[in-house]
Amino acid sequence: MTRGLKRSQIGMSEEMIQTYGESVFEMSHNIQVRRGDAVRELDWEQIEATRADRGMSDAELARQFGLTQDQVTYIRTIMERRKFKRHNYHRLYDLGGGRRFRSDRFIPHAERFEFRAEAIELRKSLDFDPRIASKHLRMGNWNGDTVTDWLDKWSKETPDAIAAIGGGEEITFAQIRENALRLANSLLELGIRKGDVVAIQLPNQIEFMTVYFAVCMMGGVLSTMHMAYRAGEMEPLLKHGSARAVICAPAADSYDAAAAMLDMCTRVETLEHVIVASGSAPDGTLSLPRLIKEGTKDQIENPPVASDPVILCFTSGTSSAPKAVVHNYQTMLANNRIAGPIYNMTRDDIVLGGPPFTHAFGICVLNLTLMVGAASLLMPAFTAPTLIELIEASKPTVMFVAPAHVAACLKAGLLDNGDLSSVRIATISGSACPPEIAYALEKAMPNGSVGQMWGMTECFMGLHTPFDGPADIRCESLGGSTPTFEARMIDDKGSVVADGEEGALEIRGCSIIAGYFNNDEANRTAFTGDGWFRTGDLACRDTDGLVRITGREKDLINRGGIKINPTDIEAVIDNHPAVLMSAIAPVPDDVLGERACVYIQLQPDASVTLGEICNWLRKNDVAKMKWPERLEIVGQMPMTPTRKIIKGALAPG
Amino acid sequence: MTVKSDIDPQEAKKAILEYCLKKGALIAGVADIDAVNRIAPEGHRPSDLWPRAKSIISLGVGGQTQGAWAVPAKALGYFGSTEVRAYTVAYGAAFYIENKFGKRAIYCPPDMDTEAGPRVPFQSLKLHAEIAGIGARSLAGDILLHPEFGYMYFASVFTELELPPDQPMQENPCPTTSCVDLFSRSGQTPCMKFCPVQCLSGDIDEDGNQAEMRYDMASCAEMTQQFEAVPGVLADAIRAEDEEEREDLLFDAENKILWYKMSVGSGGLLGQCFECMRVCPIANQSPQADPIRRYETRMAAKAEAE
Repeated sequence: MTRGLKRSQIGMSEEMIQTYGESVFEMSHNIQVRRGDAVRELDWEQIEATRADRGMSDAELARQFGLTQDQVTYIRTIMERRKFKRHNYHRLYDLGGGRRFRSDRFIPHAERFEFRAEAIELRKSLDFDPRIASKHLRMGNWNGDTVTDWLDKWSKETPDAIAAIGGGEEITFAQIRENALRLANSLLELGIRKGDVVAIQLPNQIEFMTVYFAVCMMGGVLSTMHMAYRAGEMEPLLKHGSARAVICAPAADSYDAAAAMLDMCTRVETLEHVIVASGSAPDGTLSLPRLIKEGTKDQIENPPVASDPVILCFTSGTSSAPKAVVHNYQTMLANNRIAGPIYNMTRDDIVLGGPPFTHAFGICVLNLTLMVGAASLLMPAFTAPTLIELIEASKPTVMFVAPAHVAACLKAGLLDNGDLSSVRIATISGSACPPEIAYALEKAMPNGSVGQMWGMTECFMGLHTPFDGPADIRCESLGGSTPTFEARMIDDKGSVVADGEEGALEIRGCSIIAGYFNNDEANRTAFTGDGWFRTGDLACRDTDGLVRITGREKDLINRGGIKINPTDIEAVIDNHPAVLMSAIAPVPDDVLGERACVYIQLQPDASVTLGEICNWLRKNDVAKMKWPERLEIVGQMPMTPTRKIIKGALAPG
Repeated sequence: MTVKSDIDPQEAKKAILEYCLKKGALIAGVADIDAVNRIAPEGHRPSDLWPRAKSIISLGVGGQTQGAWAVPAKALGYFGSTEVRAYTVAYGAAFYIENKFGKRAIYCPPDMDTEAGPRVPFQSLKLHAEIAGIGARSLAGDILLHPEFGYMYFASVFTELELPPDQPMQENPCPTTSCVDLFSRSGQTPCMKFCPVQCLSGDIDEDGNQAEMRYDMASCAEMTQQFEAVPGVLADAIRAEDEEEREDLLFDAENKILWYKMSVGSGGLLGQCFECMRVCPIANQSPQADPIRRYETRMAAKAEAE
């Protein structure tokens, strides 16, 4: 090496480097010590006495150590390389221009924040087609907004405005931001990192919003769990998302959520913390109010950016291969920004969200409300009287509800008698809405208009009716697609069907996820590869461009090759005086393959027979081939959190 | 070569130093070559380079513009070093001496000893300047400072022409009163306190003079010079088992800048740190430490004359 010579040419071994290395390194120019100012003063005695301290040349060291000069040079250069800390120059990056070095402020790269492997894995689900990403970025559909940006905006501009009303309390934007910041710092203090999944199972209450904002602030990913889920449903979902913490409600009725979560900690490897929304947390759990109270108000050092994942929702099933939907801020908030103007909301509005925050619809409404700086009116649990009482007491101006919410109020006779005069717009969404439900709601709103919206967890809001359109458009269709979105209906062969014909609804736009997390099979089925998402819904578009949902692909009954769409038939049956709600699902048949079975939940003290149902259908001009051939009476129809019937849970008795 | 025998050493010295000042040096002097030969380590004495040298002319040029001190360190690294200006003057001075006096002269190579590696210079330009009396060693790793001009870059010319030598400076401006005050309170001068790798330490005696200066040159070098980094990156990449990691090691933004600077030959791989000089009251607050202060001095002198 030295002078181009090899070790064997200068007589060098590794042992010699070990023996002399430290001495050569330190006594050469690498460490220099000067005592006094002998050179300037030409103090020859002192100059000679301190020559070694000032650093010796290789020739001088060679003579002192009994080595050749080549050997000293070789050892010195080897040692300089071995001791060299390549990344020390990072210390320079934040200096100068008025900034001085402070050792307590400097964190070496090796000690800086690192995402967990699970967080990196989760990011793989944000695998967008680069052409699609480029399009949305160039068009500005995706921008740099985060939920925290929106919350910060309103906490600065209208700090004393009401952000949420719930549980007999009101909280302002400034207050909820401070609480969220404190909680975010507490979560970080617990060791929860940016990119970690935090699961939540709370009803629509202020604590949910606080947690949501806090997790957004610290860069976590909020995974929502429906309130009806118990350990059996939650465990595979927590495992799938590698949840690091879960936040749940205190024990109530027959369900002790905290105990169930604690028990799951032993089986869900990543789950470290159970946080209970109660001042008195059981042993082994943490109190959410205490974490909020004791958290600092320190600025978050490493906040998320818009391309970071923010929510993880599960759309169906709780099996080992759930459909896990991961949205980043770009896909999630783009939907609110682009569709928001349709709803013409302002910061003066009070927005009642019927759907639970544990569902994407609920999160969507929450974001929409935050975007405009309006107040969220919270309904922790739905019953028809609760909804009407809340409207009468809190006077919401904007309302988002599911058809089942309205139907329940209607059937309970509460819609006509309730005071809905405060509501200026009401959006029905969550499942296909029979027109008479929409008309009934509009009739009950003397100062308001009803509209409909169609959306899915995978894309949030996709179709909307215009609120300034005529009633038949708003009550009988889903209108058109979200601006910048596209919707099409295709047949079995993948060809686009003509207007007026039913087809499978596909949609594409800036809010559609790239794919399900860790579910290749579902991804192959649901995504076309060129940006279209197969919704699974059946729809048709009329010549005016208005879209109507006509059913679900998987609900079609294949009766000897003839496909029967049960949606319209169910709507007719639902109008039978003895029926509270109905659902038609296939039952296997040796001859025809499938036959239709109708499941009915009766009105109190009512009864009905299959013959009576068929007679009802005949009277309503439904073709005989569509009539159900079997009847099952169910005590309680299985429902999703957004009040959709879970047909998969229905089976003949 | 025609040798002129009627050279007046004093006149020659005056002419040479004036040439240096005219060409941009702030200050110039002649070092006693015997003293330098006696102090410099073996292998790095003027006599090791050129035994016929009789005199060393040392000159200094201004360190930084005032604006330069106000920018981030990573930018200052690119233009903070003004030594090239000193080299140009020294190069010209060597030509001037031969042309004017017919005596051999060389521009003293400022670079590293190619046989000894990148941390070993051929000659200590600092020693030449110190003996020539145009700078004194500071607590900041022996960087030379001048009470009038602050922090400078130096260059040297060796010549056969025998010139009367200057004396080292009578006083050392380092440490200043404010530095002594800070040291008495905290045990550190500003240069020690703000060094990013804490490579400076030392002691000040009761009279406010330097008692000891300790300089960990290796730590300073590993932060500001990256000649070890290139083979280090390659060695790490060879050892990496994972293809992604290997790609990162070779091409991440930080390492890519190495290839960039190598390929375009953009000066030092990162430049120097300068933090000790940025906070040094002598380096940047001396009466003529930067062009603006020199301008102000000129204007004040002009106003006084009028």
